[in-house]
Order: sequence, then C-alpha cells, then structure tokens
Amino acid sequence: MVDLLMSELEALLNACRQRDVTVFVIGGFGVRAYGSLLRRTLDLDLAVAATAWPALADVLGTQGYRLSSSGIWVTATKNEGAEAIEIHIAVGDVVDIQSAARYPVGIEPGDWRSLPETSLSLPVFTLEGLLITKLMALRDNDVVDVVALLLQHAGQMDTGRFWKQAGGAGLKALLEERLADLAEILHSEEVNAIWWDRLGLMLDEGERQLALASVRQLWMAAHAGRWRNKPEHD
Amino acid sequence: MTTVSVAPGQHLAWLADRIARLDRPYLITGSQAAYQYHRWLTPLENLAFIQVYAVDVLEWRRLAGDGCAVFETPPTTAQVRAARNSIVLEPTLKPGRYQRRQIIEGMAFVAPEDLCLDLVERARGETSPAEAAAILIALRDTVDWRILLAQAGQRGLARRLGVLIEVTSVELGADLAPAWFVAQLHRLATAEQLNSQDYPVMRRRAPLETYPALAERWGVRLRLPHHVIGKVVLDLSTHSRPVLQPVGR
Repeated sequence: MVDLLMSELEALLNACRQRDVTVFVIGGFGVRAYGSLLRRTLDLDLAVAATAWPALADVLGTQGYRLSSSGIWVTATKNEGAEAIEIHIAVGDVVDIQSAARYPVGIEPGDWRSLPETSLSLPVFTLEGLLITKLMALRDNDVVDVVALLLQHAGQMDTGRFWKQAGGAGLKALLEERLADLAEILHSEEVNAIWWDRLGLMLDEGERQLALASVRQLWMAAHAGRWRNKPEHD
Repeated sequence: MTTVSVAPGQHLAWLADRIARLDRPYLITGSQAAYQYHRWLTPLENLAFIQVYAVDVLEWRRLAGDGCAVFETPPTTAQVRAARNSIVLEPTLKPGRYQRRQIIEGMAFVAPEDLCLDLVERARGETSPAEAAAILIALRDTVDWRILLAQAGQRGLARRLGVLIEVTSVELGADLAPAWFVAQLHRLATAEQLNSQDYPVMRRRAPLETYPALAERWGVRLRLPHHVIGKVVLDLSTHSRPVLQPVGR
C-alpha cells in the first residue's frame, strides 16, 4: 500500500507540475518530509488554494479519480486492482474540525523537501505553516508531531514568519492558547503518557526541556516583555 | 496456534534473523503486531517489542550487539535513535497466551484478541484505543469473539472493551461485534468493579463522556473525543471496504 501511494503521489505531482498547478502535500507525508519518521497512517492529504482548485480537479479527473465533497475537504478516490486510493484535499483552507479554525492555503509560501529514503521531492508547507496546522488541532498525534518537529528543527524555526503567517490567518489568539496548552502538556506528565501510548517509548528529559524551550521561544516572540505572566512552568 | 499467510514484510527481516539464533518461545507484540493485523498505523521499523518467559530473559539479552540494542524497560526515543535496531523485552509471557499465538511467515505474533486487550488495558492516550478499534474492524470477520470474551472477563477489561466496541459501532453506523458477544460482555461488565478513574487516563483536554449514554451503560468515565475512532473508521473504510456492513450474528 505504501508503494502504491508513493507512485500515485509521484504521478499526481508530475501532472500538477506540467500543468503549473501549485499543490501542497500535508498530513503524514508532509511531516515525513521534515525527517520525522514516527508512526504514520497511510492516508494522503493535499492542500490547494481555492484559485488553483479547478486546475487540480481537472488533473485528478485525468488521472482517473472520482471527486466528492464532504464539507471541509474534497475526497478523490480511485481503485487500483484490489486497493482503493483515497486522497483528502483541503480546498482554500486547512480546517480543524474541533475548533473550526482555518489556515488559508493562499498565505502559505510553501517549501520543497525531499522525502527521506526516497528520491521524491514534495511541495510542502513551510516548517512554520506545518506547526500552525498541527497546533490548531493539537490532538495526540499532533502533540507528537509538533514535539518531534521542534526537536529536529528548533534552530531553523523562524518565529517572525510563524506569527506573520498566524496573524495573516487570524489565528494569533488561538495559537497563543494552544502554545500555552502545549507548554502545560510538556510540563506535566501528560506528554509522557501521550508519547508512550503512541510510540511505546519514553521522551528523554533533555528532549522534553528542549521542546518546552522552543514553545517558550515561540510564545515569547508574540509576547515580548509579557512572558512573566504566562505560561508559568519553571 | 494459528498460521496465517499475510507477510509481515521486509521491515522485520532484521528481527527474524536474530530470533532464529535463539530457540526460545517468544511473541512479537506492540506496534509491529498491531500493524500486522490492522495495516493502519505504521510501526517504527527499527523497533520491536518481544514478550518472553521471565526465565529466558538472560538468553534473550544475548541478542544485543552488532547495532542492536536490547532493553528491559521502555527506552527513550533518543536511545532507540542511537541504535540501528532495538528490541524491548517484556518478560511476562504465559503459556495460554503463547498457545494462542499466530505464526506469520515463521514468526510468532501475539494473538489479535490478546493484543486488542493489551491495547485496551494500556491506554494512556488516544492511540491505543484507536489501534484496538482498528484491529477489531480489520479482523471483524475472523476474530475469535469467544476468546476475546473469556480473556476480557479474566483480565477485568469487560467495561473498557465494551464501551470501546459500542463507540466504534456508533462511528461505523453498524454493529462491530455480534449481539450475543455484546450481551455476554455486558453481563461480565456489570459484575466488574467500578473504576473511578478516567478512561483513558491523563487526558486533561479531552472532554468527559463524549458518548454519555454508552459511558453510563458500561460504567466508564470515558474521555474519548469523537475524532479518535472516527479517524480509524474513515481511514479503514478506504483500504478495507466494506467496513460499513453489519456483521453476522
């Protein structure tokens, strides 16, 4: 199934490139492109700006996909022998169902990253955009992904870009809340419970402190001079 | 013991090679075994959890070396990253459990019924309940419901298994388990001691009793957001259709 998804993804991205359609790979494959080799589900998620959707729909149709809309995303489906391939596409915005928060795809500058252990290069969200979409939801798998991303890329995170994109999406207040939540999760035993439940492993104390420092750095960038007030986890 | 023909894949070749050096009983458990059954959430490829008899632990320690680390307590992510391959030994194997093993391409895996209950028991977050549901959905036509019932009763997991099965049925829009099974499980559950702890524990942000009627029926303080099992159903309905058909009774 993994091989089939990879070949489908490659074919689709090539077709998009030929038609000059800008599309982003998000979800598990998007996180993997940042080198995070944690546990993954085998679903394929894409995001596209509303203006580029008609062209992407055309590409998907040419590739043999059937399209259906479920409200917050469009689902593209096709059968390959006994296997069914399903792609979820966020059109216009990446939406978190729980909070109804939206991250507009149009404000995402995007980046290209090589998928580890493959020759495939993927158009993905910037590290900051990926963190924003993960923080919006902050379910257990998002907590694990955010912590892994922060540990691997702490030095490369552009806090100015993070808050610029967050502000452009109207998500500043929500993300401040989420960062405070994440700081609390990292400070308490909850992060160990989530990490162990997902991976069967413990989070190293040094790694926990490093992730917490990165969260604080992000929070401080939005609250220069106000860090003393919140979140208090020293 | 059951022998099945679904291949575990190349990713366990490193483990098969090492296990072959020891002629001792073992079971592959944890994420490797779960993925073998549900094909939903991939395992970490260089990490395996092996259940062994306590008396054999000294023998199993000999697998360490040549880039393979052997742990007897849960290692940290950094420790696993530092080794090429890692084995976590769990010296808790019992004869009945070993008898129920599944042999897949010559390797011994914990039975899906036992693994499902392991996941129900160990749940500290959203992943374990989701994986237990994924195994039951993926194997709903072949799972041995009588073994699952007996083991759930013996392990005092009837309440937690019952609520998880009925929550999954709600998300599926169809019965996951046969009606006779749910009825007998519920009888076991009512005889089980009530637990005042939240299930899963440590879920500070998760809403309490998302499925209030089911939580009350099974006597569980349930903290399981809808998206947890909803995501499993969504993903598995793609890859193992038709999920949304009622099972036979």
